[in-house]
Amino acid sequence: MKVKTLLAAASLLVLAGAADAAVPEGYPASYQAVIDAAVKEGKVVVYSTTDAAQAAALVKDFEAAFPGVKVEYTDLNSTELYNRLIAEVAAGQGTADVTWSSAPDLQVKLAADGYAAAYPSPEAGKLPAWANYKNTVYGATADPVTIVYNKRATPEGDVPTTHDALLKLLTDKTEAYKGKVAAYDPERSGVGFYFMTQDEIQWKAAPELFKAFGKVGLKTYTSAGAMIEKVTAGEHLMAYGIFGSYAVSRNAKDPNLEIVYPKDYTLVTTRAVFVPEKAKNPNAGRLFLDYLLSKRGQTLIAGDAKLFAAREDVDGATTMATIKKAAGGQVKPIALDDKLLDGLDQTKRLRFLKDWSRALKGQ
Amino acid sequence: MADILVQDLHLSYGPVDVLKGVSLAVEPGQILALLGASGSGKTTLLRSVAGLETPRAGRIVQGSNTLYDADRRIDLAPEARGLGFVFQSYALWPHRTVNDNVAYPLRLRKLGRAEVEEKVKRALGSIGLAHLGDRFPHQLSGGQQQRVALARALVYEPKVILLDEPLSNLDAKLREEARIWLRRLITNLGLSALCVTHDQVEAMAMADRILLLDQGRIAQNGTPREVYERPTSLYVAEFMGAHNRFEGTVTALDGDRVTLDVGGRTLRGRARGPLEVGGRAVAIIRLERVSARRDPGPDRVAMTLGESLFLGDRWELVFDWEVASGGETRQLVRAFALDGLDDGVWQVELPEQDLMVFPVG
Amino acid sequence: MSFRSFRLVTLTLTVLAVLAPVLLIVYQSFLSGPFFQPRIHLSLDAYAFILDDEDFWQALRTSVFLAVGMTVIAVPIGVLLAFLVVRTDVPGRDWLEPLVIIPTFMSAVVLAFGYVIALGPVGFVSLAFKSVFGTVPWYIYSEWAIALVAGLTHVPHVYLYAASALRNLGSDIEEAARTAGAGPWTVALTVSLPMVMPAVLYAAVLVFFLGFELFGLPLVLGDPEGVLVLSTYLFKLTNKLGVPSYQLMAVVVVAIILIAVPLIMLQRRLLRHAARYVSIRGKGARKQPIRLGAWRWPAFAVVILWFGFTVVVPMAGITLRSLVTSWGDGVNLLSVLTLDHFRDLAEHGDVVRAILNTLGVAVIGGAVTIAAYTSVAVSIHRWNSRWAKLVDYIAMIPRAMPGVVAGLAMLWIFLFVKPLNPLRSTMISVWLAYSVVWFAYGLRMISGSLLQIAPELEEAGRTVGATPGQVARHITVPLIKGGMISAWLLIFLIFAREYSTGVYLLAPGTEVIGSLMVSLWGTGAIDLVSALAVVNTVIIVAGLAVALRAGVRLHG
Repeated sequence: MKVKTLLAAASLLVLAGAADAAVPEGYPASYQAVIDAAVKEGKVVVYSTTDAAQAAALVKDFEAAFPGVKVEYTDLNSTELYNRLIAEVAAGQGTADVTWSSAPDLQVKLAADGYAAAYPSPEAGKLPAWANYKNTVYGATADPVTIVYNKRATPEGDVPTTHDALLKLLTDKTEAYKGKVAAYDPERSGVGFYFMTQDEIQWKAAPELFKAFGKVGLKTYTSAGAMIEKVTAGEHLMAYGIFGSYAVSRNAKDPNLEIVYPKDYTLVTTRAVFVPEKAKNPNAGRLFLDYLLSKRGQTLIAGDAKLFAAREDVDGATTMATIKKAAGGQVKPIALDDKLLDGLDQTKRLRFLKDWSRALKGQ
Repeated sequence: MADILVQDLHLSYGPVDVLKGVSLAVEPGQILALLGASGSGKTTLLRSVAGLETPRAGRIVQGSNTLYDADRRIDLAPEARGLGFVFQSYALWPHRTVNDNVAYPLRLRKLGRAEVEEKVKRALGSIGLAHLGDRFPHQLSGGQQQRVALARALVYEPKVILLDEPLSNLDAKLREEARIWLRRLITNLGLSALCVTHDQVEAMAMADRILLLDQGRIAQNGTPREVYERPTSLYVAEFMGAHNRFEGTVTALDGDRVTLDVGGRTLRGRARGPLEVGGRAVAIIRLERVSARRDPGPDRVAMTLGESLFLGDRWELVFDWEVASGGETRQLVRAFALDGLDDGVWQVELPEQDLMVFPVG
Repeated sequence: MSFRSFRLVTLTLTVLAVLAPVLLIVYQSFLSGPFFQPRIHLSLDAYAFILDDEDFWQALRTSVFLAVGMTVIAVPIGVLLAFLVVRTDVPGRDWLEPLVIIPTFMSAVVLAFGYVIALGPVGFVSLAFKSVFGTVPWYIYSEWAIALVAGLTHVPHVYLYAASALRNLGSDIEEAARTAGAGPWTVALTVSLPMVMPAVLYAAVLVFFLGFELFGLPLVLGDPEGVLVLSTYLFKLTNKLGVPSYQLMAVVVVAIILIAVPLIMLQRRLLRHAARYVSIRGKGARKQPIRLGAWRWPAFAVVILWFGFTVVVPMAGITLRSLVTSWGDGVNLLSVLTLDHFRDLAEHGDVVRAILNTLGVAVIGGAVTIAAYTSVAVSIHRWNSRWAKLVDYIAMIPRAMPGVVAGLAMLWIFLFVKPLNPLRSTMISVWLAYSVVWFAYGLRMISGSLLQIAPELEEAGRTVGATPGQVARHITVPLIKGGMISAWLLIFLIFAREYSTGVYLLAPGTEVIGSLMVSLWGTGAIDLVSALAVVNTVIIVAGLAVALRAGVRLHG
């Protein structure tokens, strides 16, 4: 008798849950099938480079929006994510249902190699064009590439508002900035390589800047955390090419770390998401991807998660509008397209690295 | 049928031959002492019988039971041999109480709880340690440990017991008591025993037979009296007892009567091996056979008393045997005497029938 | 099960577990692509690429430099500390030992970052020094500084070996020298040191070898100047090509193994040599410490100085960082004090689970690991066979794989060996990976205890009728109980800070403190990393204190 009551209560709960997870506004009615299948799958496995703590709000809200679909969230770095995905696929055991990585070049490469499933998301139309790779890989965030500096230690007049200004500062005050500037090392860090090659595409004088880096004895890093930490401590005065999302969350705790969105152009990169071809729970994967791109998800991204939303139709502290305002309109999103694969071409890669290391040596 | 029969046993550690064809037999109820200097292979022989070493060739039989046979590829594991073994260090397990140490072999034999308890009690009682069953080995004295080790080796009633220097870790006084006690225990139980020792007195006191080993070979096998009184080689003669040693040249032979020139001095003795006139020889005489007299006589030589050492139960006398001219100037001769002597010149008697002459080279 | 089949099963499992990842990596090094992909073929291209890569040689040179530097620094200091603590009346010799081994159990990344906060260009020690002397004469990002820090933090390795050798040395040998007219230092140099030389050389080879697998220190301290060592060169390699190239990484690992193998052989030789010294171990277990006289307090100062630099300074750095919002030039630390980081940490969803998992894998997993190591050690104990030697040799090899590669190899094993599939994404896989990588270390501890058992205790068991299996169960293992508990303590401390080997096996529910720290580090949340590091250290020190209070000894 008791068991029966419990069962009845449980089924009521399930029904209530199902009632909650109605087809989101603007989606085709057929989407109900995806939701039902996802609930049947019961969970969504997410491999992500975004720290679990930072994504906690998103996960919680997703589970609230789609009761019956539990999120299993694993954070990895982008190389680990790549290694794990291709090994799991090769072992034929299925893999994550969603991968969400801050290395868009590796994500596009995985898609080009057939690891991603094409999926025309109902939200695709709401995204800017640069954030959609063949209806397969989508950009869920718009992270600006910024310069951070130590407000206390940097003379106010020195703060560079553009790339040109930075080049001029380092050329004019070489001695004062000796050993005081940090940047990702493109030789050792994939992110660094990706940012610096984009600079070369956007800005003719980029090689000049790299030479200027060489003259001031640039300190090169593989980790953004270490760079931000050392700039706040005053070991360095500024760091070049820092994810806006990292900078903003540190700035919230320590306003001494100030952020520059360069006014000549501010690169915008994205955390790219796709559903793998071999996902075990593909419907749940699609559901999660759609949620990340949805207004509800994007609003959270622009808010609690402090991750800069990719969609321009959401409000919050960290949105495209925030960047545009700070950068004076000169926003250059790095598009998810086949050009990203150029960066992974070995010959081109080695050529850039050679130029870079010569520039640093002042040649 | 012998209780333990060893036939032509060979054993090597890598390139080193430790046992070079040893054979022996222990008759039921007999105690055989394995005597020898360190490195003679006596412990290795004992361990081979126990199954703790693997010989290269030969046979080991206990009663009707073949323990080891190189030709038939038989090599019983130690635990399958059913022998008792007492280690030099006693090898009591430090993590077990005395009771548990002694009970362990019985538990391995799946005896009932009550029976184990009863047998342990009896075994400990028979060695006078019934009250110490709950102690740990380190809480016992050396003598007590030795008896526990013995109880552990005997509690499962093996027919044969192997003892590796069982008394060497005891102090001198205790050792003399223990050897009597040990011999009596073994005889009363009707056991056969193989006992390794480097102490000739202990061997003679305890054993029915002595087997003297020299570098992996048997030097002599006999009763204690045979080995002591009629050594078949210089090695055996020198190993047993305290003795004087004279090196010289054979000057005359008459049957087994030998005349020897030792650095210009003349000695007469009995041949204990093939000698020839002009050949080198060594003469051995035990200290208790040498005596000092006032008056000259046969086999007596005048010597000056150099030192008298008081040993408690007797004196050890050291004489200087001067020689008129040529040869070695000094030759020391030692003797035992019940009483001390005055300094001065004495007539020292080296009886001809007690001077054993062996060939050398 | 007979002892024979027990031995067969144990050793087969051991060889499989230890060699599988290594052989997989070696195989991978001879392929043209990832081993699991179609259309790959045998090739030496990877070798050609690496041997032609200037960066590889540069990294190798730096690794050799660091290995030599570490050895030169760690060996004399380790021996000196061991001598002072074990053989002299230096003040506090009873409580100094647990202090001396603490650096072994601190994550190298945390330690390195602690140094940055304390001794970096704007570190609090540097700033204080500068305010007095006007300048800071050191630069912690140079190769020399890395070698110095690495050397000082590896002192405990030398200490442990030298101390146990010194403990086995009878004081009568030293007393003989003292009565012959030698002062304490002469005794140390001319009697004690030569006697423990084989153990010291053994430790020296070990430290030299550990120099090649340094990772955390060069990763953090070598970052600004781009100092590359073999393990960080792997990252550069991946980046050069854009995507990870497993065959190239595998070649680097093969290179490290090729360096390791002769070192292992050298160690075995030294060990045999050391065994010869044991026979002249003096009698008299009662140790009469050497009186240092006027040298007592200077000697104490040496120990404290080393401890201060190696533990207090970096730990103070990390602790400070966990309590402030910012630091550095021009920051009044008192005005930025906060407990927010710990509060944030408590709110971090995974922290409690990570702590529980860490404790679980370290305490329970550690115990199972010790049981497994003991099975292996007992299997090869007094077994004069080539197989026993083989196991002893291969035990070291997994250590030659840098953590990142070992982790990847473990993922592959759990993915491609079908029967293991269900274990992946459980703590069991993480535990197994840890156990394999620390096998050599644990096996040495257990077999060290086994060596101290007098053989006749086991032989006595055989002669009264026990089979080899019964002897092992009833006599051998009970006799090394103390050694096993000591080993458990050390393995607990090691597992509590380990992570890299398990990084690819992590799934929701299997986070450990180490992995959490890495993912936080990646997002720049250094305040949380510091707080977590403090928590981790508290756990480790508490574990150590509880164990020592409970009477566990650090040496078996």
